[in-house]
Amino acid sequence: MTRQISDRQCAIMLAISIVSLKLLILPALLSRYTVKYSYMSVICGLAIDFVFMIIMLAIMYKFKHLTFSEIIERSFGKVVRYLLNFILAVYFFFKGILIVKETHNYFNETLFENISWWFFVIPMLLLIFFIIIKDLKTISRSVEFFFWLIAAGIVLTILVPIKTVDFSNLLPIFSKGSLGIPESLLYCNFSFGDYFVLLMLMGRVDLKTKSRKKILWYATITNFLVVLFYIIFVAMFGDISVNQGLAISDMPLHSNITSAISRLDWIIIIIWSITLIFQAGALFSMSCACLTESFKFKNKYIPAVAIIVSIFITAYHYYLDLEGILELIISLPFSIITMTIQIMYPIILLIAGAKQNNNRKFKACNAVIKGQIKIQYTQISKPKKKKLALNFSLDANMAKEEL
Amino acid sequence: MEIKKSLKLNISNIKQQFNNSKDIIVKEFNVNKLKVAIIYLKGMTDTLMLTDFVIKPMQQAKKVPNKNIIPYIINNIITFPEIANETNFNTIVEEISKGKVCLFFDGSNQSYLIELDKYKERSLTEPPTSAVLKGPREGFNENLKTNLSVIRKILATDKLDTEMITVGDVTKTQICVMYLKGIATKSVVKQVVNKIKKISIDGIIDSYYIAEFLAPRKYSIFKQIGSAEKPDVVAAKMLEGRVAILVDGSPLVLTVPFILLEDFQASDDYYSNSAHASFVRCIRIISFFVTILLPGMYIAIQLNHYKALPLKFLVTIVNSTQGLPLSPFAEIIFVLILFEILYEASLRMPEYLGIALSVVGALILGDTAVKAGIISPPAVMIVALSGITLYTIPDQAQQLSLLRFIFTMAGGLLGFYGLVLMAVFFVIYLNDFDSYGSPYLAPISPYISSDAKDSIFKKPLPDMIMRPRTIPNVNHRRIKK
Repeated sequence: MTRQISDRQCAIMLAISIVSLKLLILPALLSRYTVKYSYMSVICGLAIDFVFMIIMLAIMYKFKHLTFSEIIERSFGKVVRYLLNFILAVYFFFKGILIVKETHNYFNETLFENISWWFFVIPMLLLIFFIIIKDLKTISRSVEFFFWLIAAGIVLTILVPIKTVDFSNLLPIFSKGSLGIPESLLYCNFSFGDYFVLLMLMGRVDLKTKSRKKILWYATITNFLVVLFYIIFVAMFGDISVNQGLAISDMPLHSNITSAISRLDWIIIIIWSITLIFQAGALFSMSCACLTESFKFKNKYIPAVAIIVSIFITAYHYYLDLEGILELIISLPFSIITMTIQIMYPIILLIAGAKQNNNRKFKACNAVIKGQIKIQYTQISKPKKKKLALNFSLDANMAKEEL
Repeated sequence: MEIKKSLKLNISNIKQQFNNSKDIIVKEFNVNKLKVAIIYLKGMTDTLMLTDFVIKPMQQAKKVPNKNIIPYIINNIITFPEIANETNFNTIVEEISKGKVCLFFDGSNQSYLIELDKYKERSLTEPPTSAVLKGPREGFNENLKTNLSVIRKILATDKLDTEMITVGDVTKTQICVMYLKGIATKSVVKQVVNKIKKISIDGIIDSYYIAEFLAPRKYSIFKQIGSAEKPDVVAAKMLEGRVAILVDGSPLVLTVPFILLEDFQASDDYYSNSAHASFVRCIRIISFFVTILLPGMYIAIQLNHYKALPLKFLVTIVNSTQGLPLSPFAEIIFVLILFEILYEASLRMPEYLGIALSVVGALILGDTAVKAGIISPPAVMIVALSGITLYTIPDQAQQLSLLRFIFTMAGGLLGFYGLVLMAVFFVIYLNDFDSYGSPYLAPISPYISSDAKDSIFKKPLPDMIMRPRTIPNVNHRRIKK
């Protein structure tokens, strides 16, 4: 992956990541534990994710020019770097597999009566390979290109059935007791953790002063839409939410308006397909990047081929068996592992950040500015440092780089 | 070979270079005992001006000094201003081939070239693919000098810089790289000039030869170099920071960098109301999608997704496609190919056969084939509609024609899934393009908010204070405060 995507592209990639795994199968999955208050689980899950996102953004601002691998290597060494990258590669890989299986199920249930597995997988794999070998700039531009279409699709999905829903279906809250929320978050945590996208974008985003606000705003609005989606979903289906395995296509399908306008749900289906394909490609691309970092491949074709072969084998193993892969993902051991990963990485980054702070606090930092002048960058106050940095076009981290 | 001091030798060498062709005209005369020879190619020189401004003054000159006679003749007798000294024999041969007149003096190893070349050239008519309702109608023709002068007339500034390059071992085609100093970035100019200088080919016949060398991706079906047939369009593009490449012998001027959205903008968008221009641009974009997606969607729906259609529509289609010998996929491909054949034939056929063949084509496709039950009316209608929308963006017609086939194949084989995959593939492919520093799909992706004023929608000109950031330019401000 190469450097320098805009803050807007970063925000869009985060937004797409938030929606991609939450609007298809997750509503039904959450309903297994919460019945009619899956929206409460989503609110809690998204809130936790939001907190981690703020932590990630703070780290990104602190280490503006460093990637995740570089931060880890400086703080913990190469071995930890390779190990963490490998774990990330596997994490993203499984997320991508889940999306591929969801997509297959989606097409099988909606667009086609019965799609042949080969017909589905082979073109998909070719496209994923094509996406994997492209750089981050290309992927982020492509996501940006489709963003408004995807956003319109989600808004349409929410607005179309809104007249026909019965909001009394949302009650009673906690019909299965409040333990349903932590239970659902424990077993379905794999569909959360979208802030991991920021891990891969560290050091590659052109961050400005207002970028943090922009990214958080995009995340907030996306979270709000997701919560609204769940509220509408539960209000629409009530006790039978658990049976709606394809929420985003079931909702417009059961609305009176779509039958009047005639298969508006097809437009939503097509838009949603684009979202899923992009997100799958992005996830596998991140997995490939992590593998490249882990094993120090010279070019990305080798890990790309490895990933494609792995997808083929895994997908074939779970051929048409979405239940099988879902059972794996919501199993206790898998859930505990993914939850640990999702908590571990922000903590590791926080420790890395604290380590770097300590180094700077007690060591003098000399910077060579425009070739000749040396300044002592020691125990001076933060506002003064910022002013100096602005005056001499030098960032505190870059000043340390110059040593 | 060198220029000799002997006039006879020089004349004989020149004639030998041109294989003693009868097209070479040699006029010998004396100016105060000094032997002079004028050599030029028949049919390529303005003989009237040659006689009036060169030969007659020389022959009728009085009081010609005996010393320094040649400079005297050049400076005081010959009244034509465009005259230059030349000592290189090969250059002289080249310039005579281009229509210049060469002057030799006996006893001197220098010659003089006079710019009296004159060809029969086409008038500056409105190009057929860039017709406008309002606005300038002048187009380019095949003469480089004329094209240069037309652009200079619009961009009357000393900042208009040109760089002349000769390419082609046989054709020696003159290529002019034109840009506005202080607006175009030097790196783009340098890139273009270097690429053109590296071209080593026998001949350049049209500007598209150069376009293929300048294109970043040789095998791509997508247009990578901009083009224009009208001077007002080229001038407007140069004012945004683009570099223009004029090729002698071609009425098509190339411009770089190129972004896809350029071809969705026509010159008369800027000569009419902004609201209407925005509306028309939206129509063009809708036409773009209709062209490439409609046949593919039609087949996809028929083969895999008939549930997508309302019942009445479905019944109509089923009734009209009943009993057809071809599958829907084969039928659409057949009609598409038939339309391409018709289009190609209509371009090449002689005018006097045009009406007869049009009737035959329309009858065969429109009526007889349908009545014979070979193809269905919806298929003809879909392909015809797709064909009409193709020409709302004439500059992209070739690419859209190919894309239409690709999407039709994708829709036929994999239904909507195939169309989605193909759309995603092409978006990613195009986002990987950068044309001389400009992202191909800008300002949509990456989204450049400041350029949104003149992208899909167009704001009035007073709002366009800055030049577009999509095109690298040095001076960003266009409208002074």
